[in-house]
Amino acid sequence: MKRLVVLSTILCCLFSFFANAADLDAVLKSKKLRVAVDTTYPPMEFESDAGKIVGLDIDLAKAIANVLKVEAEFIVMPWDGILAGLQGNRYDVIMSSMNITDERKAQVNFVPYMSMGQVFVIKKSSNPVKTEKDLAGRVVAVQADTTSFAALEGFQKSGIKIKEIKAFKGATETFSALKSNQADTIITDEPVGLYYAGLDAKTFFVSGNAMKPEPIGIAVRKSDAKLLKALEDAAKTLKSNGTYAKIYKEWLKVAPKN
Amino acid sequence: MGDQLGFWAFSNTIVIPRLMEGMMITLKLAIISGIIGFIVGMIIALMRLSRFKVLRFFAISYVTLFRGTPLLLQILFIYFAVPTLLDITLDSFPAGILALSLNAAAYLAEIFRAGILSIPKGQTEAAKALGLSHHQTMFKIIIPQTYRRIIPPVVNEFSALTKETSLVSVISLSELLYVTQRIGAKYLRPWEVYFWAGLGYLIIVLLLSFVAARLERSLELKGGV
Repeated sequence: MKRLVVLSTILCCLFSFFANAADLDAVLKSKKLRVAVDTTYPPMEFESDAGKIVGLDIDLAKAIANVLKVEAEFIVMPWDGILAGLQGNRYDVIMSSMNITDERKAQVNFVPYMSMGQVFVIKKSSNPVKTEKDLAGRVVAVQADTTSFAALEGFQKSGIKIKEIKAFKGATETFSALKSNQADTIITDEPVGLYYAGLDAKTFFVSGNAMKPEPIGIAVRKSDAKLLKALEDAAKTLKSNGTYAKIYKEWLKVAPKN
Repeated sequence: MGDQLGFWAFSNTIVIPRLMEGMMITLKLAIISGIIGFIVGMIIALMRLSRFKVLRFFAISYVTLFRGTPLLLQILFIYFAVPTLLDITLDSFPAGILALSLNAAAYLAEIFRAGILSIPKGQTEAAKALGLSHHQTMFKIIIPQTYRRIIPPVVNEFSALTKETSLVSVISLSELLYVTQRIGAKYLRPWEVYFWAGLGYLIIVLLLSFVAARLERSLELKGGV
């Protein structure tokens, strides 16, 4: 399964120079910024009861589109196909809590817009995990192809005897796995961990910080240099005029640190 | 807040209304690709039994290719790789239909071929003796006799197809399973959402079996084989 996804991504990258260039002109002309999101990531991007796409990233994307004087159009895309879809010109950008990593930077450009830490989530009744050393002997659930997954592999390489790593397609599955005792620890982005701990406080408990906050960014095709510049400027505008802080506080209940 | 609702309240107000949109898409995918797959499959089966080597070779290659590679890969290839190779960009829905129907056609072609081959050779010989052409023998004598025999395996393939539509979620089609997972994300209540999604698939497949049973009975009345 994962291999297929990797294969499709490679295929797309190999031939990506054939894809139609969209860039800023196309966005301005159509008056639409097509934004890909994986809506299984509350409170960053998820769906309301009426099926409306909502979340911190959603409000930020709308604000950025507003600065560019275009409208944000959201395309719901599962995480494992989200980069391939960008290369295939299915949308203009990805704004779905994507951590900026060297591996991804080889494929796309990023506009950093906020930082997110990683946390350990456990069942309330189990022994707390304060640092990575406490992972020894535990079954850890994590979303595949994420920085949490990479961090976990790093812990394992550094000699921590993790009993088993279970990689799931979505973040939601890791929480279901914890709830149903398929795993006893999760590593996930802090806002997501806090969201579920708030949703089901009887079961979940955020017991420690796994990693220092790392930047997440808007992914843009390498060929769209003008769009990249416009988005960078728009992100700066939102930070300086207070819109970013307002949206951040609205969804995460705390003020941004920087 | 949905997290405090009981099973029925949660199901009625949140899960079921949203699952209906997913179910409609699943139903559309299954019906449209079932019909296209049926027609393409019939053509491939006839090519496979043709007197011309080129057609036979094409049909064998087609079946080998689509049966020998995972459907998931075919879906990903049509959606992600074809646009970069050929400059043809299909939206999720047509791309999903294309992948599902081409795949179903390969399996259906083999079912049709088996059906045609199961008709005793004496029938073809008798038709030839009466002066019917190859074409006439096929369409007037042989194929009508296969209908009743192929209904059970065709229904099998259609129910498999219905369930396989869940794979197109990878290309962002909001079919039943994907909608389910997205509702699950907000409330993390896997039991309720998966229960209703399962029931959704079951209803579609039961409907299909019901139609097939009626069809089988109506063919029986005419005498059949």
